Amino acid sequence: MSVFLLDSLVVFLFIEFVILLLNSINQVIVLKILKYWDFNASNTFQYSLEKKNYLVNTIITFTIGVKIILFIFFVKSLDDLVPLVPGAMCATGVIGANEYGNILLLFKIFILFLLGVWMIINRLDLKSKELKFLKKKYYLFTIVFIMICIEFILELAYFINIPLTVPVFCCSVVFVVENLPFDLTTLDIVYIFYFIFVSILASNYYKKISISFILNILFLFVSYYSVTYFFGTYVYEEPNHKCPFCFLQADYYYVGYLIWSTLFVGIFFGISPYIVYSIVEIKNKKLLQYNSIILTVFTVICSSYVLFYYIKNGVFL
Amino acid sequence: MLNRNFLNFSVKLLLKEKGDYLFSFIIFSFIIFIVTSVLFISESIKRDLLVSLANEGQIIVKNSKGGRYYPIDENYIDSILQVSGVDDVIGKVDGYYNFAQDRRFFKIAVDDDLNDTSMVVSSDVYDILKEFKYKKEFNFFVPNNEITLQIKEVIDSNILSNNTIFVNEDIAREILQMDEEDYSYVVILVPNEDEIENIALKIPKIFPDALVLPNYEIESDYDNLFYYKGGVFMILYIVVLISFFILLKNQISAVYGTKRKEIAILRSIGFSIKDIVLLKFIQNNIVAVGSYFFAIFFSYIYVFVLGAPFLKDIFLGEIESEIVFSPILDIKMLFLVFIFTVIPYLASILIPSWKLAVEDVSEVMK
Repeated sequence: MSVFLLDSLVVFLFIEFVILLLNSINQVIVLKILKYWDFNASNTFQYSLEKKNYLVNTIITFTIGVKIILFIFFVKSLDDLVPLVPGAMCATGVIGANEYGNILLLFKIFILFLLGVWMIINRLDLKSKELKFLKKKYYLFTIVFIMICIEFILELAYFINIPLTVPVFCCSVVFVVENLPFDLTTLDIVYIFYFIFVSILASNYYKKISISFILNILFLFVSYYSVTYFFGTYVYEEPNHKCPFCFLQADYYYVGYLIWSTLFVGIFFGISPYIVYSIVEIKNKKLLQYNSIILTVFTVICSSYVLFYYIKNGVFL
Repeated sequence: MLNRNFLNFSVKLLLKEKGDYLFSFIIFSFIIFIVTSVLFISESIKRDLLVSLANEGQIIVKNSKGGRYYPIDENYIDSILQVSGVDDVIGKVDGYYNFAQDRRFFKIAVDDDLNDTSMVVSSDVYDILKEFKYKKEFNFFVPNNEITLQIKEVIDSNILSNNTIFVNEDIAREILQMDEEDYSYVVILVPNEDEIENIALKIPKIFPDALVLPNYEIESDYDNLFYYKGGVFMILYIVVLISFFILLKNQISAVYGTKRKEIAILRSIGFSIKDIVLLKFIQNNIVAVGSYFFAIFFSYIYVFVLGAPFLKDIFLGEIESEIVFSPILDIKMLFLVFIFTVIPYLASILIPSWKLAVEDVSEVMK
């Protein structure tokens, strides 16, 4: 039996294909705009390009909306695959079932980040009357488009190569403590986690976008490790259960979606000001406020699990 | 410019132009209706099977000789009870009665609440019995004997109870010609989930002939079957969807061709191109989401209240056409249908809406 016959995967790939098709139309127009755009020209060709500009913007906005829905759907579909893949007990086993899975997941997150950056630049572009960032934003889109194409190929490669007979690893095997980088202990990671969090708040307060950028990237990695190896164990209330996917399931009230989405959205607002600045040289400091607020929500959610566990049981895990 | 007045205006405009959208609304509803009906039917059947599986024990053991099923005797039960981790072993009796008058088999199942003179039949069995004038009682012909039972009750037939007659265990043995110590199969109760696999491996070592079916294996068999059928259906349905969306794109373009003047007026009173695209997007969103809910509602009624006439025959064949589906509403399935239909719908109207919005105002007004 092939995984292609699973209805959610058929639907998923179909919609991804529709999006790819729409964006291919887009890319053709984008290439034309990149080649012939001249804001000062007043001929009909330039006028038609300006009209097409609206279409491109509409399609990309639509793509962003759909990509977000599809990302959630993708994670859910991984859960659907769990009973089909031998040995898998949560999405960890399914995503690690072949070498494409983890790259695909990273690609998806990265594309969403870039599309978000694109949105911010697009807003700045539309605000400036002469559309002065137009070429820059379309170069950025071209990169995103290439990534979407690679993503689609990766998706096909990933789903074709999911083994249905060979057992895969379960999360209890993949996430053992020895996997931590630089010989750190779990407790070290937690200290670093809180230290970086406080530093981000301070740096955001003083509106240092480049420092926030570096700290946020560090925080992303540290959070990944601390949620998987420390906070996760409190969500599961079990010291040996280390998994970044299991709490996406109904047994834990889908809290994983809240944890990961606050982290990713928060980090996005933290690193995008610097990226936007390096592309269009406009400092958008308001985003740093969102960064502080959302990351605080994230930290509070994670910490509250530890706190409530301690209040209930009087000990730490 | 997304605010309340704008939304209000889009809805008012949509109501005024409802004739233009009627065609796509009806066809789109029909397409969603078919796909959800099919999914409702398969989800309902699957749920019934899994619920019944959960009520059974954790492992089912059958006996075989020379590749054929064979009754299992008391010794098996005693030996399996010795395996550590086994809580209880229950012998079960079932089988088929050859109803020679109509050349068909009825399934005989055990219900111990019944006495020696009564039976419960499923509604499809009752319909057949009525044809042969067995309205109150029925005679089972077994070698050298005739057993007469009163029909105590007629129950709905779902995927499991259809074509079934329930009697008590003694009567079932008589009808099926089984000895006092024989069982059709045994069910093993294992309280600890983690032990199931181990115990399932131990039994063939004691009885090499035994066919051992742990519950997770049956469950994944069901899953595989339904995944397979659902997937094939979806792939075929993509073809339908693609042709519909091409049709939709052309139809919307044609309708919008007649609306150029109206849009030009809106543009000249200050609507920007973005606003027009947004206006059309909101309107089509309402049409798409509206027909989605409309179709879901009707397919729920069609499948679970009316019992899915016609469609059921395609799925189950005429013999099982009395089946009643147990109602379920699976959010994940509805989300799947939403993504499958509404997103491509919206994708296919983007370009026509844009074309309408960028029409040259002065050109049109001339």
